[in-house]
Amino acid sequence: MYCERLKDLLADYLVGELDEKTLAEAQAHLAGCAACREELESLSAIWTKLGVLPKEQPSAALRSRFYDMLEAYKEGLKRGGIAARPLQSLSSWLSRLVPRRPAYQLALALVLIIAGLGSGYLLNVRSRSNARFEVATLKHEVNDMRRTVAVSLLKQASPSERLMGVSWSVQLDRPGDEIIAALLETLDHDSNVNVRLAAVDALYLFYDHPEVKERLVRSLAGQTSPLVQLSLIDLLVGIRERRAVEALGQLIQDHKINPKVKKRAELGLAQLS
Amino acid sequence: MEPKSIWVSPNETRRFVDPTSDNRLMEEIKDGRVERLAILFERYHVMLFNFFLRLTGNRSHSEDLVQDVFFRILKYRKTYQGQSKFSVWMYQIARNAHVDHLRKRKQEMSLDDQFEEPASAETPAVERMSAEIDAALLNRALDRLPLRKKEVLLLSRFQEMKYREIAELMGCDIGSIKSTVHRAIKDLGRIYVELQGGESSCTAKD
Amino acid sequence: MKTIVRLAGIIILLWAVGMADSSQQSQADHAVVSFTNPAKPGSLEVDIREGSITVRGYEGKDVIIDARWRERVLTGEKREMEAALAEAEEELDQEELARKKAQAEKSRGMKMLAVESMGLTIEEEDNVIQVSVEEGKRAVDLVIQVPFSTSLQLSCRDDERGVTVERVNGEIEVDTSDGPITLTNVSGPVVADSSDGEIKVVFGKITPGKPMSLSAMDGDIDITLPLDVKASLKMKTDEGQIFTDFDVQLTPSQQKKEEDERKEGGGYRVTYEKVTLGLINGGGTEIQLTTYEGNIYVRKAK
Repeated sequence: MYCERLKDLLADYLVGELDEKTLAEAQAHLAGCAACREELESLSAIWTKLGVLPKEQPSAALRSRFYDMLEAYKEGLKRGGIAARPLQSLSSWLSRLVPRRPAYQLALALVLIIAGLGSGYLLNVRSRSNARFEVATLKHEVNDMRRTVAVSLLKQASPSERLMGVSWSVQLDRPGDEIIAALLETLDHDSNVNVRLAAVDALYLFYDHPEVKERLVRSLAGQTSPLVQLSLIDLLVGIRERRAVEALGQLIQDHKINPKVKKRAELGLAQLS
Repeated sequence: MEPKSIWVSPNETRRFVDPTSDNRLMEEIKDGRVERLAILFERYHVMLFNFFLRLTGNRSHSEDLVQDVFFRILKYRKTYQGQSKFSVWMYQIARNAHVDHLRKRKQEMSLDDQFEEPASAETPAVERMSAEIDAALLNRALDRLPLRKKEVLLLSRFQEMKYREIAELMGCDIGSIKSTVHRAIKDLGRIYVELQGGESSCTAKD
Repeated sequence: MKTIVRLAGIIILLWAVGMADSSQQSQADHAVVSFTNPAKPGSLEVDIREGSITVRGYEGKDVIIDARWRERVLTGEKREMEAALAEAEEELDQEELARKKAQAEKSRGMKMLAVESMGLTIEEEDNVIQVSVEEGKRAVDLVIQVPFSTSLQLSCRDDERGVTVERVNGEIEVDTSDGPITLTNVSGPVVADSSDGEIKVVFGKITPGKPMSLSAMDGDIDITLPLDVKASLKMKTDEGQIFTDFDVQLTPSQQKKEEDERKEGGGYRVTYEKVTLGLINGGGTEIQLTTYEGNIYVRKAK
């Protein structure tokens, strides 16, 4: 029945995308089919009505907010010099954030760059004494949004999206307990080795949060993947967490453990004692 | 109220808009000349505003969302791949921004509160009134469409995107976009008629 | 068409199964499964202990599964199994057969088809096809053809033949313990790990914006990327080396490049502390590569 076919053509008809031949065919059918004609007319009527809905104008404030934001961003770029030398410009800000451990510091830097986060922009906002209200509000709102998205990404079925969730989490200004809890949960329970590895790296940034250190130590006992165990041992040794000594000892006793992990655990034990 | 510093005169954007120039502007922005974003702002911010207004029914949120989109364009400028059209990329960002917004706001504000009657200067009083009621009803009907149908309809009818582009932006095939359009119009028509049935012709909206 | 009766007494026949059985060769099964909605990309999840998994993309809409069971058990056991099957069939009379069949068809939500041949279970629900093997069953070599856009989740835990994928564009998640992982002409994102096997991926193109991660304990990681890829690499290896022929923008403190003639194509050998971060073509898709002993190779597509 051509009536069915007509339904498929409707969308193109409305935007005027039907070629001549098809259009002629359709019109021929319509001439003889009252039902289709009625249907087409009523749908076209709605389409037309939609077209005459007036365009709304935003308030004048929108434009000035935009230009303020653009100006601030541009200035931030200039000050941060991010376009020229990405990592040197971050170093002073970073050194306030993490201790001088080159590998992790740079990992953080990379994570920031990957996300396209204009660190120059952030530097700018932090150092302003008379923060522009709109810019600050925007940043706050963006942060909130990011947090929600990060938490939700961590729960997705796709491991790639969970990886994205981990990297979004580390970009937050004020991560909050929710994010840290989500990362710890990921470290302990995510089914994918790669995601757990990423969580270890991310948690390094939050090691000074209350409870994180303890959770990290406890996590060590439960990990089954040698790669994750190695990474976690490095982390605990790196932050000089003495409470890990007992967990390391147990690991060494475990006869099922991968010999390379055992070796690392022994080294770590020596370093922490 | 004029903007504090004028980067580009709006006139510059009223000339014929060549889509490849959007791409070129993005390349310049990626290179560090971020002030070129102003041209894109002048070109697109009203359309974006209307897009969000029809999605959220709230002027103030819509302005926030427009601001958010341009901020994200700056922030993620390096991820812009020249292969897709700029507007397709921008609407992807816009949709994501809207989804984030929805998550934050538990309830949308009622459309009735926010949607003012559109002003139309020259039409006589009686005609104007019924045109206004029509528009208000249509907007309310639009508001009641499920999100995905509404998005597809807005993108094709108002944002003037080709079905092919909408399919690319939403990550599905063109056939499903076309049938969504069909169903959206049908649903819209049905809701609109229902709403009309609840109103007598000359009373103001409730 | 044979009615397959599971020893526990539940009938499941909703699909035709051809069973090839010759005493010389291993047994083979063949099944064709459709997605609930063939217009949308689907997912395939395969979880086996012993055996190998090979997946190839093709132009069709269905998933075609070929299973070859490895002849490993004593012939005696096989004969026993067949005898038990025959017995079970006889016990159930026709009425019961019909009733159970109707019952199975009524089960809501799930379109379950089970090829209860020698322990392979295939289920489809809402565009996700799950294939698994029961515990204690023999090793099986699976060759599966899927529509190009399918996403894959493949797990193969105990075998040297590992996992092979060709020409699939969906997201790919793979883990093996011993076997190598070989992915060719894929676009990712790829998230893979192996304990002992090597991971080798040749990307046709890269789906931008989706992070990837490959981890191997003992094996090498060898990836080939398109020339114009924009990627941010984070590479970590304890005892291996990193080789690349890309022009990688390294973090400043790690910029020590040495020409290495031993490496084919004259790439650079880069040494570092433990983590090497580098940007290709300005950076973009995050790719994390982690090994303990193995080397890391990042190659340009030729």
